[in-house]
Amino acid sequence: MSGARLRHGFLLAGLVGLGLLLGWSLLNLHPYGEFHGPDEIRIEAIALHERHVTNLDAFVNFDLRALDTLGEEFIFFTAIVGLSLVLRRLPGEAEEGKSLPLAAGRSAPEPDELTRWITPAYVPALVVFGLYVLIHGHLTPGGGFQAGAIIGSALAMIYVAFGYSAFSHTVDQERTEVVEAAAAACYIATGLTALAIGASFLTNILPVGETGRLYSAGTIWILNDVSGAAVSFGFLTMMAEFISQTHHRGSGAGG
Amino acid sequence: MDKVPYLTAGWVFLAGLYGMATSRNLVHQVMCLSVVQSATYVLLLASGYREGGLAPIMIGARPDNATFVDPVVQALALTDIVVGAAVTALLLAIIIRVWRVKHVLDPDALTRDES
Amino acid sequence: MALQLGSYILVAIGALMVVLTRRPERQVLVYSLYGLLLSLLFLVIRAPDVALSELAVGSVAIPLAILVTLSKMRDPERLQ
Repeated sequence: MSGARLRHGFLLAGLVGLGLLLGWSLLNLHPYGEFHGPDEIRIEAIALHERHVTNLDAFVNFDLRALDTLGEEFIFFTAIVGLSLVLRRLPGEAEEGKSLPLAAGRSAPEPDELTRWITPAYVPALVVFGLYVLIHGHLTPGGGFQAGAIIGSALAMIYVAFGYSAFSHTVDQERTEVVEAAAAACYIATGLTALAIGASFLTNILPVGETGRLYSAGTIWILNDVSGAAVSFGFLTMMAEFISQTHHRGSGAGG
Repeated sequence: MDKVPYLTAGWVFLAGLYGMATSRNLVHQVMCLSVVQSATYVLLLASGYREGGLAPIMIGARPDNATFVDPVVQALALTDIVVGAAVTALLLAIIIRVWRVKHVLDPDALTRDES
Repeated sequence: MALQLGSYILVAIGALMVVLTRRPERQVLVYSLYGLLLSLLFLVIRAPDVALSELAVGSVAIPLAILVTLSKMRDPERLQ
């Protein structure tokens, strides 16, 4: 077992060394609370007056640095594609005809009564809340990425309360994949429209409207909604992929 | 108080790294990786904090010379969190595949197998 | 200020707890609680967007994915 002890010793030595370097560099950062950004760029000065947008994070994500958000969204998309690829049925694999093994003398656990009562009331409220967070993303805290996570998790509650067949009726995996890809394409299409009229890629070209109204801030709300659709359907695809792994296909309602 | 935020980020990073390196279960390792990622979010947000700054939402009444905390690092962090979740899900899918083939979840046993 | 100090310390302790919980079934719950602590820290740091993101992802979506993964990988021989 000395091999393991040696490895453990190396690990601790490495961690201590890394810790010292990390501590030295972290303590030489600017003092906590005194962030001085580049003085020429005052984001809050231009956000309200030029773009009529009140959520500065959404402004940075979908206007100032929209190209980086495009990259992030495509990392997300690629991860979901990779997930579907890894979990696909390989040519040699049979359909999963066996259910999960159960211990002798026990039956599969029934979903909780309370969960089954609460979920039909809770899930629609969560979805509406997620849509609210999405649509008001350029006004109040929120936006595409947050709302996508909320909506994806809300619909996964259907699986928790009612099992696989209910979930597969609500979330059709092939359709969510198509919508996710279409939403990602719409993001690029919005950027290309800006190119088409002579501005740079992903410039904010729509009229900025009145502060605080839903249809303000130019292309920010379009990019926001589109990336929210992409992320939420991406999360639904991910949940559907994982959940279909726990179900034995070939029985139950056809998906 | 001056040192605590950045040192917390460093501590969380090192703790997650230690957990990853001494893990005996792949799923445990994936969660430790997630902890390491969260250390970077803490560092980003701590570096963008401004004393007396408001949250970067410009709704509602505020004093005339109000300053805001830096929104750029927050924008980075919030997309990072969601993308990190997707990558974690991809890792979990790979673990499911590994389980189906090898029926072991111990990283040491997995590396010992290929010889 | 004291609120921020407390939040940072809670996050540090939470991260240690997540790492030291070895069994994945238990670690998922500790991780979900850690997501909540992180979200509170982000709120106190004046970052509501990030707090919302971390709450939805770290406390719900990822633990759900992990639990579904774990339920798929059960060892038939260990059930008696």
